[in-house]
Amino acid sequence: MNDSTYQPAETVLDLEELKSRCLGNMDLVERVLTKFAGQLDRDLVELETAIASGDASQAAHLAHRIKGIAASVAARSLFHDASHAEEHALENELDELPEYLARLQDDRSKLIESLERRSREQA
Amino acid sequence: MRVLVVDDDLVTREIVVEDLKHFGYEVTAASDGREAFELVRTGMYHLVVSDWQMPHMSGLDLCREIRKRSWSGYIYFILLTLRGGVDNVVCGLDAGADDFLTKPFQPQELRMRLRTGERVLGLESRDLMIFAMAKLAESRDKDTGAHLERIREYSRILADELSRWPQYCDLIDGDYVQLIYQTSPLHDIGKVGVPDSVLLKPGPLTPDEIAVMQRHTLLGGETLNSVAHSRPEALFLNMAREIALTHHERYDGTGYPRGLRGQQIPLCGRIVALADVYDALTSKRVYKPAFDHARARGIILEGRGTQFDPDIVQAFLNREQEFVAIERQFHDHGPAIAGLPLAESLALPTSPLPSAS
Repeated sequence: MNDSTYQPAETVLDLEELKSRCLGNMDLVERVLTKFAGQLDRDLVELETAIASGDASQAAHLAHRIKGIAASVAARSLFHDASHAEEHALENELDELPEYLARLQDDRSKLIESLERRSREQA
Repeated sequence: MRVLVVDDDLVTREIVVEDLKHFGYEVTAASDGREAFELVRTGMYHLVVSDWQMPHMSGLDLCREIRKRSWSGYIYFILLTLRGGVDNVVCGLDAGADDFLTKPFQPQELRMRLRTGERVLGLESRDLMIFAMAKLAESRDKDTGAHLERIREYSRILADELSRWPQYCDLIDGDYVQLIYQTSPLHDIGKVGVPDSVLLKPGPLTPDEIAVMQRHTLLGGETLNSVAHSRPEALFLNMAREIALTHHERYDGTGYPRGLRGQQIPLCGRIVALADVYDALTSKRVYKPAFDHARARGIILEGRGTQFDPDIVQAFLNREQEFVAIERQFHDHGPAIAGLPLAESLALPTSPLPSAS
């Protein structure tokens, strides 16, 4: 990773905010982040399928769910892009969705990267 | 206190469940509205925290399904959503949700909302206690069946009707209607002080026994007065006292215990007087059969301006179909009998018109 692409974890994931929502319970933070990563992966795969099959309604549902988990863990850029993807899906603007899928996948990569970096720092 | 948390989003659900456990709640989780509805049907959950958008059954539909049915107690429903905006709040509240929380939220915020829910459920427990007290007092009188359930419905209907009239709209508001619904079942609470030999006597009462029976108004009024005196902020106690004391007064001043006349009789007492007599007429007693609505209606009309406040008789006429529906809903006697001469059916020696006790 070069310096120009490096993003501090706080940009993609506000860990302090998440800790506050978990009442400072770090075990819960860890469990939540594990569930978050798994759920996000599944939802992104399903979203890709929904977009490929032209199912705007299912795409809207999945984008909404991604928005929800992003809100819960304070993953701001993911929340922002999922919100836009949901709006386009609700408007049946299927042509716009591949671009937002790419953004969401990029958000996901950065999140996983920041989580892995955090794990390494803790080790 | 048990809380049911409903969310298809595993991440949010995990956080909410664990936070609420931390706050001391006993938490059960469901992943969609259908699963949640089955859990609500067990009767174990009176606090529900639900996401809006879920597969199979949304939070909004879950709330609507819950509100469509009668439950053993109120179910306080908090809707969680990512949807902000007034339209969505209105839509959620219109479906019957009690509160609305936009994601993301801080755990303390949800805790405060749940405390409000607990307070509301606590008030309902108070209402249940009032009704339980009234039922206990009534339990000695084996003739009365669902009398209290009907009385409070009749009283509510009459108060609601009057609240729509210009001359009453300043006197009767939604709180008044709710209060009369809660307190009218206490009208005969003083009967706890009437001996069985009088209360349960199958035949006509002697003049001395009538006097003993009539004392139930004073006993009830004095008991509730002493409680109301120590808790002046408890408005329901004041109304309960007035009803217990005055529901046998007559509009022309010939009633008991004090012979009050017209507007001297508190409005709640005048309302319950008609509700109580209508119920006595349409119910079977040891001394009379149940009269049908037409017969009871005729007797109520005979008492307009003498036994009953003419305005309340008019309110009764305006909403009489609801009286019929309530009587059918809480039916607990044999077939109603029409056309029997009043003198043959009612063993009430002191009054030309029926009295309820």
